[in-house]
Amino acid sequence: MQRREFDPTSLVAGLVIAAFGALLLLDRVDALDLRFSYFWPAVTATIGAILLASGLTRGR
Amino acid sequence: LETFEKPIAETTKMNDEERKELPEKSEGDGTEQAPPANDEEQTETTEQRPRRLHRSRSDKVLGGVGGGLGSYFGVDPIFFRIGFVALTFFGGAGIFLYLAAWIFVPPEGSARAFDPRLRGRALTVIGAVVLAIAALSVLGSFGDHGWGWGWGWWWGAFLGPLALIALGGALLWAYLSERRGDGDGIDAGWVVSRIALVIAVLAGSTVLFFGSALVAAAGGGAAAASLVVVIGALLAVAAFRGGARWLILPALLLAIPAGVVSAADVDLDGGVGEKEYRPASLADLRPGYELGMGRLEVDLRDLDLPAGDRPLRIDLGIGQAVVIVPEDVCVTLDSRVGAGYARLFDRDSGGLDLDWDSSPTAHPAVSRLLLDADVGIGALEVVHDPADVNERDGRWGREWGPGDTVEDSLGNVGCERRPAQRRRERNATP
Repeated sequence: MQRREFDPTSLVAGLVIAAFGALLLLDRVDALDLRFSYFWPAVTATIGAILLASGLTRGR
Repeated sequence: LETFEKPIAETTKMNDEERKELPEKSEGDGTEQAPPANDEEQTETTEQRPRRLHRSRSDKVLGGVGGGLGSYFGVDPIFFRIGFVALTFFGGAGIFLYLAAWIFVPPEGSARAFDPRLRGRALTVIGAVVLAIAALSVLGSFGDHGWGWGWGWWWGAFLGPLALIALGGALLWAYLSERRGDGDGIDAGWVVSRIALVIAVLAGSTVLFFGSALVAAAGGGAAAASLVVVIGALLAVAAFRGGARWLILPALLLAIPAGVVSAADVDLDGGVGEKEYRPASLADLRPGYELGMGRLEVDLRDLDLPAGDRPLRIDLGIGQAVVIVPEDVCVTLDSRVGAGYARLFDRDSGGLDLDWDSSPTAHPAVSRLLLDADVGIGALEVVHDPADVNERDGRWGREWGPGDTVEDSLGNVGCERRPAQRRRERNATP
């Protein structure tokens, strides 16, 4: 981890995880009502995006 | 598999070398020897080593999984292909199984289970499939009954956890295969330390997972969510300094249980345990009853409710809430069950995001109970007879059909009947 290379997987993962956390935060401050009907797709989309990014980032 | 492989290897060998000398004996234990169509091919592969499952290079439609299974079991591969396609209709299980086989079963001619070049491609394919399923389940939720063709329920019960396992497996695999490229020199000490580390990571993950759920359920959801945002931001920043992929795991382990708690609206206020209330008079009847986790029973049969409306609130985080109502009381219901089951007399339903809103009218001389109930995860049961509790009629996850509303509950006898309902009752009792 001493390398200073750019890691697209970390960037994508960080952004989608931050977005996911924002979704949870909005529910907790009553800005929206989180329900399973979009919670599970959100989980899946987050995981899918991370997997896709790490699959496309090779050579590490 | 060892025991299964050896006799075949031996008998095929014997077939070749000793057939002339011992014709009677080979007939004697002949069940395994019945020569299959691909006898020659099998002899070829089983001579050097036990028979192994490979992905076929010559007989393939996608990755050669079906062809490989076919030659392993000596069956036409078409059966396996049809099987995978058929399983796909069970929440996509066929796709996941196929992909797993594609990744973990080595190609023909290769002894190694993991092809490093395949890893990137496999992750790409899995990622794309998972994203496609996410898109499909969002589209499905626009259907008439909210869930489209049942994806929502599948998500909670099966596919969501499967996606999690897939991600966990991919991360572990990426981690464990880090040194695979160096050659064959993997020493025992390294393996032991890696396994110890994996066990420690698993234990830490479990603590983090349930800790996050507990904190969120106890009212710390906003803090947990903020922490997830912070970790996400750190991860994004770290991307420009070589990356910090290990942060993905703790972030998800915090976010997912906190999200489940939020989606189900689990609130652990009110303590843990078993609470039974049987108010004997109107003075004893509280405006609401609350429990964090456990069983909450409110029995109103001793009450003589006066005519008119009477509100009652039920609040349960996790567990079973039972409300027993006298026969002559009409019940209106405004309930939310995050995940689980709900019953109003003879009507019931199970699944995720169960919302019921039913306000039947009652004769002015009849008392009406305005029930406002909130259950995070578990069951809500509104019954006349406690013996009806836990009586399931196997309609778990069933959606309401058109015109099949709670207002039609024949058990809600205190309420005024709608004309259609009276007609149905007349037909039901000849």
